[in-house]
Amino acid sequence: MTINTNVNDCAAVLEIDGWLDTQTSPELGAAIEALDASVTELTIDMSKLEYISSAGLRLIVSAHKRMNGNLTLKNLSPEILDVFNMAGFAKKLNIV
Amino acid sequence: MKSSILKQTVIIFCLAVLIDSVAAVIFCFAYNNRLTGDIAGQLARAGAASAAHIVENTDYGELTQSETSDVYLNTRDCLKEICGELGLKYLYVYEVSPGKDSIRYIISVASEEDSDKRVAEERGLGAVVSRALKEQELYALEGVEPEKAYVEKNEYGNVYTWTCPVIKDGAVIALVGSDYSARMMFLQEVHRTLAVILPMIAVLIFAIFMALVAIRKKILFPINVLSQRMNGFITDEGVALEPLDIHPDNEIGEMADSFDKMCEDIKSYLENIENLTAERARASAELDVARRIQNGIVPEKTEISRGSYNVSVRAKAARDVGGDFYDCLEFEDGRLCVVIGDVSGKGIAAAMFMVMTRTLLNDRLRGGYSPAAALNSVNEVLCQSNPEGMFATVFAAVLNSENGELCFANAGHTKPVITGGNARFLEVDSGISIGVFENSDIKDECIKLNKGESIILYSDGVTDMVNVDKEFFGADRLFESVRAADSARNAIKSLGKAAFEFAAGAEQFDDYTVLALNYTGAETMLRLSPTKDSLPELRKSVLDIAGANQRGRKIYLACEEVFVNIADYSEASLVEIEFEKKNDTLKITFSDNGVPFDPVSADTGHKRFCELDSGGMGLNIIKQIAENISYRRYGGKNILTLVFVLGDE
Repeated sequence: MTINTNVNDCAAVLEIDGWLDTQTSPELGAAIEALDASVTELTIDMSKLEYISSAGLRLIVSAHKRMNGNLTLKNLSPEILDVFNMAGFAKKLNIV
Repeated sequence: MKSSILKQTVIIFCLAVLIDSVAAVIFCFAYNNRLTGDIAGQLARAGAASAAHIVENTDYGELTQSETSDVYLNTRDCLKEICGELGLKYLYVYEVSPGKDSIRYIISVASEEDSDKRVAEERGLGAVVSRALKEQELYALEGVEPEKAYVEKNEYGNVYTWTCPVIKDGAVIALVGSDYSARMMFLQEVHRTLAVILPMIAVLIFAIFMALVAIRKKILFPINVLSQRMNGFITDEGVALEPLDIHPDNEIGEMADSFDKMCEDIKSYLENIENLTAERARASAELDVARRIQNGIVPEKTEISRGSYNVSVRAKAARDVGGDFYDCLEFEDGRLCVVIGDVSGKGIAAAMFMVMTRTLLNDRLRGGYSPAAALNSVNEVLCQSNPEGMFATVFAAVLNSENGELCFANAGHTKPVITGGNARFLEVDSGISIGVFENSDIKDECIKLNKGESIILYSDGVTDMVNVDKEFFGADRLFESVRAADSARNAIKSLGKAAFEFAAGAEQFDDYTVLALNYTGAETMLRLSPTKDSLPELRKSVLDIAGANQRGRKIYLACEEVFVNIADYSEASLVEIEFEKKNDTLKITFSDNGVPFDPVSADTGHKRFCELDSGGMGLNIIKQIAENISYRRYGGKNILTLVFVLGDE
């Protein structure tokens, strides 16, 4: 999995490429942790995400908390969106 | 409709009578003709001679003087009387002219009144007729009496004429002619003929009638009765089989007796057939039930497919029921037991012995006996109750599906084939058939099957199949046909194709039974330490088996959640993961030796969204992806079984 971080003032965009599972999720956790405190808006581009497990989902939830709800998920494939639905919180998130 | 014998006989008889009658008439008529001719001649001659005698004793001068003289009239009366008495037609006296070229009548009389008057006028005294003299007249003039009557045809009809001279003083002074009617003569002939023929015909007809009556009574009637009996032999069964009441003492009687005997024979024959048919129907029904029972015990086809092995069997009895059998037992602990056997003989007897043998073996093997122990034990039981001295050859094997160890024992059965890269006949002690000797002393042997190898068990009915040239299929052809098979089903198919193509067109006499066990090995059994580092290995296995597609990734998602749960919470030291692919489902079993935890009944309920970062989503996801989840605690292990549906989503 690779993560591209793109920060523009208070808004940041993370682009995830590959599998986000139990083994790789700490990398995403570290990437979010590494964001400057001034960043108040986070967008995660999932167009290249092939797989997500509950470990990944948990990180999304904690990112949502950290940004006080200012988290946007974009370019979800139907397969990934299906996992969000199964976890039962697709409606709580801002998915575009 | 055929013409009846009676009619034909009547026609033949009529023809015979007709021909007979015609012939009789012809002969009779010919004979009478001669006879009548002679008589007519004699009468004519007598008439002429009498007349001549009268004229000779008459005063000739006075006679020729006048037609009215007493002498003339008396003489004429005399002549007429003679004429009538003798049945002559005409009688006449005449003189011949000296030139012999004419004649002069003196007296002419006729027997019939009309004719008499006519001849008295036309040929009375002095009537002259010019004509040449006839032969008999010339003879008569010489004083010679002719030897026969002459047939003449003149204006007075056809007549027999006799000419006689009148001699006075040694000289012929006149001639007398007497005519006998030819018609009269013919009538007499007819009369005489009929007098003979008619009675003869009457007698003949009577005789024929009697003959016909006899034929009708003695021949036609019995034949009719026989014919009706034969006609209604089946339809009027009850009547037709009664003895006939006809006993004429002739050939017909013999025929009737023969017919009676034939009826008797047929009656008993029919009864025999009825009994036989009923017997056969009963036997057939029983055999049918037996076949169904055998089919229940030894199905013609069995297919088993598990994670680490697959089994395929084909069984085909040569007759309705056979002596071959097989058995497949799957044990809870993953062991698989396969048995193949062949009982001596065929048919019901072999089938009964087979059922006993198979049932006993099944019982021992279920009870945990090793193949050899089971065979030895069954042998003991069979020996105690085997009055017919039957026996069975059996090969039994138990496969450890986890490591491919195959332990087997042979009781005189054909040597199995091991397929794969090192294809060979299995080296096994031939052992001894069970059911014969009490101390069979059969021993277990073990080998290890490599992944992909199969063991092919078969009855000798396979190798003993014959082709049209009476050649055996043989173990070598069998070996070649299965050696490269990559699954149990393919081995069976390949062998079946080879064997039945070889034997096409030839009748087979033995049961055909083949059992193939293919060990696919434990490649679908993962042993992982419960750390996150094991995840790539799990991922590879799942995607290999379920497919590296959306469906495969979703199944892996469930597996990852399960595995991570175990890794995080169970404190287990080992996780075993077994995959079982069956048709379009994939069964994945996780076994861990951790603390008891039942995720199926665990509450995965309503966590608030803000708490989800601490976990609890995994179980939810698993339950939504898996078709079925079951948990049991067994042997100190948590055993969680997930079933997924494969195929496109």
